[in-house]
Amino acid sequence: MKEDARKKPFVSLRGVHKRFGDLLVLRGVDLQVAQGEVVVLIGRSGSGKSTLLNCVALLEQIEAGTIEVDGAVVGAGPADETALAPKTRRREVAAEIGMVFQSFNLFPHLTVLQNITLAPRRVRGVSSRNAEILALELLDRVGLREKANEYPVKLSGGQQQRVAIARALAMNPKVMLFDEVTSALDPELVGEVLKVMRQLAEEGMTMLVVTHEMRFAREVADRVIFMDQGVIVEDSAPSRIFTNPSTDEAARFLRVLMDAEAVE
Amino acid sequence: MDGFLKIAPDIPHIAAGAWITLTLTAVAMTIGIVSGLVLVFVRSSRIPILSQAAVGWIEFFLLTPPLIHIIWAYYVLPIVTGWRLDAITVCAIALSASVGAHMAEVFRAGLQSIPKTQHRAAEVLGLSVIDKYRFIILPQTLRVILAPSTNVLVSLLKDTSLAAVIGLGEILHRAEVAASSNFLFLEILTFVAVLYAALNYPLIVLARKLEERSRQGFVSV
Repeated sequence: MKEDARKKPFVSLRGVHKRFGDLLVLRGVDLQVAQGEVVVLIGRSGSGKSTLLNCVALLEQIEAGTIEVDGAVVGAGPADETALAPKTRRREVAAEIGMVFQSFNLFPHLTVLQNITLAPRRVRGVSSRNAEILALELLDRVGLREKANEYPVKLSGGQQQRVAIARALAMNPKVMLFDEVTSALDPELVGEVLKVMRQLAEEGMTMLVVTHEMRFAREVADRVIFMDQGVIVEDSAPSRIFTNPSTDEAARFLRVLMDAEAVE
Repeated sequence: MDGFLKIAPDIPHIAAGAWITLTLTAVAMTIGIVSGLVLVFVRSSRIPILSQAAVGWIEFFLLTPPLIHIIWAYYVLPIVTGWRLDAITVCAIALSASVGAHMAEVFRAGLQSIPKTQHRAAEVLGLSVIDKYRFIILPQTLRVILAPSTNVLVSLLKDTSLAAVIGLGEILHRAEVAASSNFLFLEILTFVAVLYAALNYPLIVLARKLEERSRQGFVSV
């Protein structure tokens, strides 16, 4: 089944370019992600990993190339605009993409439960009752059912991030994007978030993960991608990239990370 | 101290002017809030002429004193256009315009204070633009603008005294009339100051209460 899916990528980027003013952040990125695959993106800050995720999440307009998700072209540069799927289809696909951010971004004026139920109710038209049942199930899954009626400010960073994951899952996404979701957490809170992500991966969720957690990459990823200066430099299995990276840049970057981990 | 006893007979008449003061405040604040919202909306328009017109309007009323607008609308407008508006209408329009410009700035600052990440989180969940503002951005903005909006309201209540220059029978005008017949200016104007403070004080207390209540659920950064 997974082999069949691999033939037809679920997320597909072709020649994606993105610039901020004069700065060319993505310089022709090609990337295929099959259904159920967990792809970890690594690289120095400024290498374009987070921008890449934002482009897939349709939060950024790209300058050139195409982004295809679930068989629909949802993002395209001006030259490929004709390839774009109709607006209604693009909106459907957008709702299938879940994203979790480094800074949690829970809505501070809403309770945990309201944070999770808002989008299913407003976007999918789910009844409040059903949305709440779903939200409580998801909170169970991330181990936070007892916090349903708290405001985000009352939660620890790790708890907030797990709520953010539950909020994204409430839209029943077909792909989840994680943008350095443990980077803002105290070290002792990182594990609880990674555990939830690991569970998701085991359940077969398609995931694109930007992270510096090398252990997570080694143990959970199907592929590890190394980005440098807006392009993908290396794309291989974790067993390969960690033991025998094919480029010097990747080797140097990984050595620095491993040293840092060893110190910890 | 004698003087203060002597003004006692004038007090009921002066204090009754508070109704006009409060009515004017309520009308100008309501119109000001609505027009401030419209101005912010037009200002963010992608059509340059519209957004520039909104900026021009806001800056004109921010930079020029409402007293001038009142005098101009009362004395000059009839000469130029032939329309004569009564004193309370003139004051309501002039003060509304000034409040509108101030509220537009309050709204703009409030909206800008909501982090871009809140917009992104709402967008990535698939919320429509209207839902994003209705459920995420505006409720948070409301908390932020509570204090500056109260400042506008308190200033407005004091600024209604400008209506005295065109003879509208609000607090200050009635006080001036009374004082010019008994010459107890010091006593009467002191009483007027206390009266304005008494009218404004509940507003400040209310705003503080609201602010405290709305702090619930908020990250203190």
